[in-house]
Amino acid sequence: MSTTEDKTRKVKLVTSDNEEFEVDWEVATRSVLIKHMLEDIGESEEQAIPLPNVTANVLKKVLEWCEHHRKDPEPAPESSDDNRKRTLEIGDWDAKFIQVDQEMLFEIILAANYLDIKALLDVGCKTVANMIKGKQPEEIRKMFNIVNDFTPEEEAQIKKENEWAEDR
Amino acid sequence: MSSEPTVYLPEDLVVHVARHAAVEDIFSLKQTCRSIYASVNADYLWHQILPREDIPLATPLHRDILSYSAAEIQSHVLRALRLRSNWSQDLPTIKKWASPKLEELDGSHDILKLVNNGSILVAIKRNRYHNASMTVSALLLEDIQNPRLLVHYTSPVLLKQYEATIDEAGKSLLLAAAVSKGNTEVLQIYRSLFAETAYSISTFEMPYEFELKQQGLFHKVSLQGTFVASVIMGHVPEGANNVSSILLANWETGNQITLFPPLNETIRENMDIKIIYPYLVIIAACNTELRVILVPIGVIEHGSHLESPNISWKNRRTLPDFQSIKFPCMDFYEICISDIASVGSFPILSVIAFPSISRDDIFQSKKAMLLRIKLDTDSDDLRDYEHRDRTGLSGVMNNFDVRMESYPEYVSLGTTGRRAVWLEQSLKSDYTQVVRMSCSETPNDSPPSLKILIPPEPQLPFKPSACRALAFDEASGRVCLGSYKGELFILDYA
Repeated sequence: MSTTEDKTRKVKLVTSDNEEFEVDWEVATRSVLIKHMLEDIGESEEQAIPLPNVTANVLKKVLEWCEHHRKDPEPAPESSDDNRKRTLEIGDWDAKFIQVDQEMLFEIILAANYLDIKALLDVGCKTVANMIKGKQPEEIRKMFNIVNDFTPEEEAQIKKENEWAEDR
Repeated sequence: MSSEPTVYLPEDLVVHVARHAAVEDIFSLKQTCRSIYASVNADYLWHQILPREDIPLATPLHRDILSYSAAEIQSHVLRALRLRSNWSQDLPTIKKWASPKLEELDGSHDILKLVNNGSILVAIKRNRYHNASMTVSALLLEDIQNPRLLVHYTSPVLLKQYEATIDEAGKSLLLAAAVSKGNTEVLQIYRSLFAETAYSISTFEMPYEFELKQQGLFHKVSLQGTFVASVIMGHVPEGANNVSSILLANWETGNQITLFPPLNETIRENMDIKIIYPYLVIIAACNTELRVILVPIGVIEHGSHLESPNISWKNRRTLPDFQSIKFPCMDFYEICISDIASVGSFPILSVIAFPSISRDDIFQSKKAMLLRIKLDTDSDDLRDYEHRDRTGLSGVMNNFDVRMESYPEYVSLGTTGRRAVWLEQSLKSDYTQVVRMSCSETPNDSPPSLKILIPPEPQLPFKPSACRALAFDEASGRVCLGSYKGELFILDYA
């Protein structure tokens, strides 16, 4: 649907902390949410798009990703084969991009989920999946500051139910 | 706690992370806190992440994956992980075993099969002498110490081959049997309702029976849902030379057709079939090649009610060409095809082919072959099939060594096709052991590994040398053995 006009078109985005970003149409529409909103308001309007769930520092980071991936082909509709071929591989640029502190990592994942940017959501979730790889529940709790709210009895029971390895 | 900002793993992202995480990590994540525990126990999460290659959920193909609850899926997956972990040991631990003794099971069994994810054991006794008969028993193995008899009946036929499944409602046992009745060759379907109370002996009905009126013998049988297929050996239609034929029927409607796949003449004696809806898979081997042929089940529409093989032969030219794939093989093979092998919408079919062993060449080391073939089961429309690009069928072949001077018996491939169990008998010394084969989750170049499951002298009141029947279910990690003395042993490895 991208016409020559779209390429030059600018889109205004406003974050929850009221910062305004002006970006190329092609970059902004990496987000399916923004794309749909733009379709709704029509092309004539110069209206800014409010993003009340995203702060400026996170949007800056997300837009950096969108800028780099602006020429990527449209993601194919999800097929059942996607799940089967589970891979934790992340491209070089994405791997460097996602080297952020944990708070930012979760913020990016949440923003990608909200803005509906599947490829970025995948990069973030693969990173988390990599972090928990082979880890024990206690190690995961420490890593993500998860508070163990099970009673010791419950914990023992759940451990027993979900035990599968020979010697753990 | 340190002064770091508290960052929680956002709850609604658990499902996204689970989509990418290894299945064992999902179980670790689940144990961290209450809210994540609840997310992982939701049906939604598991339905979202299925189908997946590392979740060996052996689903009966008629059952929708979405009809499984999170609890069911997790219990399957945990069992699969336990089996994988146990099998990675040099000698797997038997987690539980039992030797059920029931009056009705008196006498030794000739063929054992585990169905319904290992929860039901079908045991058949053959009586070849005087008045030939077969006695069919089915045991519910929910509690292996106290199995419950579900089905027990006798039929006056000489059984050759059979396949058993549970009907869609889970209330009766279906058995497809290739039998001889006097001098007649018959393909039969038996349906028997499970006994409501213990020891209420059930009877059976026979919704389908087809007599082969011309020369030929029914051989291998496959049954799935309402479809049954059987190889017919030695059937020569008018005006033909040696051909191989396979009867494919809908046993509910009686609609059927006999197929004559274009094969090398020498091939017909080594053929096996399996219905993996929407296909009938034909595996045929000769001394130069092994061929896999996919026949869409929809081809049955070209047939008619209880159509005889001769009529099918006359009409054969109206059929489309079937998709096939060839693999070179050096020797004459025995073939074994995996069961359902569904791990999602693209099942992988596994085939093991063993070299034939003759007394003359037992001193040569021989190669067996494991084939893993990807089947696209998305479309069951024959018209669609006819117009499809024929490059869709692909397979990976791995060779592996068969121990010198030994031969395999009772080969049983698991439901995901990744593991197999068989009895290995030595021709030279007199050891007999149960061996196991395992291969990678996704087909690749690495050969499968072969290890011992039950050594010749196990810590059990039973030795593999007494084995006369064997069944293996991969989903439950269950092995059943029947001895010459009539004992049954149920061993759980998961």
